[in-house]
Amino acid sequence: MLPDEVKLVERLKDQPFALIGLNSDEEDRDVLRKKFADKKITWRNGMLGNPMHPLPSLWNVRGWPTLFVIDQEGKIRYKGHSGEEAEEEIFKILKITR
Amino acid sequence: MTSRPMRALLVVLALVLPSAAQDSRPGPAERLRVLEADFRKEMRAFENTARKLFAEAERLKEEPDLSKMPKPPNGDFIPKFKALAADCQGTDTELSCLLWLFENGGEGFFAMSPPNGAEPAETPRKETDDMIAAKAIMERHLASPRLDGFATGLMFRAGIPGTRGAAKDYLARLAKESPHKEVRAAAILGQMMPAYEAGDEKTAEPLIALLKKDYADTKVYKEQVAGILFERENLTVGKTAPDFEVEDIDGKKFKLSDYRGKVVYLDFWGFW
Repeated sequence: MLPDEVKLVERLKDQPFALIGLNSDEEDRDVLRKKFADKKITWRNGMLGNPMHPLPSLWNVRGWPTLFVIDQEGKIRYKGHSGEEAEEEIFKILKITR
Repeated sequence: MTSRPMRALLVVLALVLPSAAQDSRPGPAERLRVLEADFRKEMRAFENTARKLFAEAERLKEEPDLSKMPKPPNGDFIPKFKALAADCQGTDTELSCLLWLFENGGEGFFAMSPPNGAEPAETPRKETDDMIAAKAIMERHLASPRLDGFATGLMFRAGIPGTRGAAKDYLARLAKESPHKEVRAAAILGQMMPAYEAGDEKTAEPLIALLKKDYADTKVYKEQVAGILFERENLTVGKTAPDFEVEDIDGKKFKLSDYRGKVVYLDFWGFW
């Protein structure tokens, strides 16, 4: 999952595209900052602080990871758990071949 | 009239007898407490062994050797919980035993995913201990307030061939006959979820409407139904994603709507 995302972000760096993580880890920010650097996570993450944060519950996230693809108009185009399928939808919206 | 020495003897007997009985054999509640503690201890030992086995395999980048897996302790405890339940029929301690048997006496996960990927047969299976316990719960403890977790367990069994028929039947009865609102709400949710997940709107819709109308103040509703409703109304493909504001790792706040004009790939994740 993470290595695919690193590749994707690199590949789409000149596109109108943003990967946003919503991270539910409970560790201190400094510990996580180091982990992020180790895993080459350069994209922005909303730090939820724990899995019981109200946002995942409100978005009815029942398993991790849960993925959404949202288009330029803010419409949901994909919802699910497959990074492969999400990427496919992203390339479709951006009208570029993988 | 009882004579004075006779009365004195009765008083002495009344004082001595119950404590003598207690010394020879602990009561059901105490037996339950010991049984549950023993089970938790053995379960922890089992989980530790399993975890070590998987960690070692991960380290060697090999498949774990499942022949080295210890037996889960459930099997040894099932006859003990059954015996205790039989000794205290109709009591709250019996219900505790039955709820334990319901949770630990089934085929659980394995019944859902047979090894060859085929659907298991619908009925010709021996009745498992969890469903035997469920039957007893329905017969003797239908009015208990402690059945919301039971309803959730039935919900999973309503999705498994072999237990489906009985589970659906029990959920329908709980939803109608339980005197407790939380239990009824959990049972209605249990009827609704399998239909909702299968896309069976015709069954799911009236149950959702019922939960919304009469059960909005229950814990079950707030914790489990509200998210589903929000999802139906706002989070299906084609809907505009609801906005939210969160804080990034530098403590800076941002909103989803800050990214309008870009394709956003949103990933709810964690290392754990």
